[in-house]
Amino acid sequence: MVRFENVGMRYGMGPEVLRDISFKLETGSISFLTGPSGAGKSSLLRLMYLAHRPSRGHITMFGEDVNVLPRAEMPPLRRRIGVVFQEFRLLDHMSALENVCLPLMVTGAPREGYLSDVRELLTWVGLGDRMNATPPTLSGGEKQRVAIARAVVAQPDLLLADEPTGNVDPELGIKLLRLFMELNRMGTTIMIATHDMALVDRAQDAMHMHIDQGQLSVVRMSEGALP
Amino acid sequence: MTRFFAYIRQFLDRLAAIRSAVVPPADGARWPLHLVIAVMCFLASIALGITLTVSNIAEEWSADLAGVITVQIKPREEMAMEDQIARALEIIEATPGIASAARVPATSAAELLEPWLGAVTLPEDIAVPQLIDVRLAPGGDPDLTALTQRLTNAVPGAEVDDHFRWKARLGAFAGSLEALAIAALFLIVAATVAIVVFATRAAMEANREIIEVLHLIGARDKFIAGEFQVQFLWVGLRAGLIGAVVAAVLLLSLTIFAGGRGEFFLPGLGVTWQTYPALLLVPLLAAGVSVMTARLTAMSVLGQRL
Ligand SMILES: Nc1ncnc2c1ncn2[C@@H]1O[C@H](COP(=O)(O)OP(=O)(O)O)[C@@H](O)[C@H]1O
Ligand SMILES: [Mg+2]
Repeated sequence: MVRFENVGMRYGMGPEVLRDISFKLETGSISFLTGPSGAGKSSLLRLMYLAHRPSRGHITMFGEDVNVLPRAEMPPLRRRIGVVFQEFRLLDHMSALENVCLPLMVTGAPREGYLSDVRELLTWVGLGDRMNATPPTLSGGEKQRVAIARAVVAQPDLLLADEPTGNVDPELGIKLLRLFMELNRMGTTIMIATHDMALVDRAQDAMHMHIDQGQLSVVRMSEGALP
Repeated sequence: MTRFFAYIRQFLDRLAAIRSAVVPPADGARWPLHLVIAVMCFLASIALGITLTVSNIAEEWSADLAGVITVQIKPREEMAMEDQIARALEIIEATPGIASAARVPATSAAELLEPWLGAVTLPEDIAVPQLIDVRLAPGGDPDLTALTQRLTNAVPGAEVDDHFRWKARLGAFAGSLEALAIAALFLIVAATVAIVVFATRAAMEANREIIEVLHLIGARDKFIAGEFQVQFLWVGLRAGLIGAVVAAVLLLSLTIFAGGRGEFFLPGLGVTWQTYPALLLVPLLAAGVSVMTARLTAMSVLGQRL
């Protein structure tokens, strides 16, 4: 599903923030990416959700060589990827409901076709009574849940979550982890970047990769996966 | 009938629903843009009015260019009016390049003066100038200076009014005025395009984060461009309507207040009535130009991103 081969990345003319990254995500797997702040977790995810091109190496996503992928062919690929951004990146002028509708709206699907599903999803993440609130009026934890709902609403094949439990109390963190495990059981490939080791220890059969100063090492393999 | 109204209502509802769904409308912050486009549309309306009117006049006048000269015979003491006319006709008909000459049926003094004095009873014997209509032979180019010379020598009180000459000159002037107005129209459109390019870039810069998020969740450039397009559709329509209405009011009041006198000297110098329905095109044109420009600008800006 995802394959990195000797990937390097830099921002503009800056130093390489990722060096010689090689790994593979199997379809249906769940993996954790840990590392100290500034290690390059977000940067690695950014490469995966096609927000940035690698400065060297090869990235294959869903069998497509990202290095040579024309711009026009990125949207269909991006629609298969759900992202929970570290800073949420919700649209502040739109209600929680509209924010969650967004990934479906941009596909041009008719609104009546998904509105009730979106409401149901928001209720399920505990925001049934906050649907019409705009992000600036939501708490950190509420925003987190809106961001997660937006990431999963279009049923992506790959879910990338950048510090999804960073803004919530441990109890909600565990609930969110269960949500991710549930999605994974239903077939979604998941990668979670976190510095919360307790979270990683709770998912013993997940793959665990560690990144430090731009260099990746595999701490623990999940069954059947190869580095 | 009710179905028809239902259809109209549905259409209007759909029209009202055409607004950007995702990019926040910055209408409040956009009044300078509205102002500039409204001014452009005002100028375009005036230019359009001039173009239509002038082309009307030029057409009317060039239709007269078949070539008519009027010879006016003023009453003089030394010769009777009938003799004056007979002699003038003789001289004119003898001139090469003239097809025909005929006396314009006499108008009574009372009729001539009526517009000025109202219906009045005048003494029957007040002499008034009489007119001779002279038609030039097709392609004929008589020496009018010589003809004038001969006429004034032989007939006291004769005056040659070669108004087709100055009409021709006026026609040419009208033609260049028309060309000028059309050129102005093109420049106005070009300026509007430039303004909308600027405004679109600014709007996209202001909504950079939204655009990036839209891209990352899989929106195509077309979708994002559409968001901006729709905003400029309304800006163009609104500003165009304002500009055209202001221009229409101005032109109408000019025609009403100045038209009374202007009409007397130069018939049809008020703006032709066709201008007013044509002004309806201005907001549509403004909306069209804005939408097209916003789209092309947005697509080219987006094309430079990842
Ligand atoms: N937009 C950016 N421009 C330049 N440097 C950046 C940018 N984003 C992150 N970096 C740098 O890249 C390195 C890795 O950052 P990041 O991927 O955000 O780490 P993490 O998510 O693990 O905290 C850091 O040194 C950071 O300063
Ligand atoms: Mg980070």
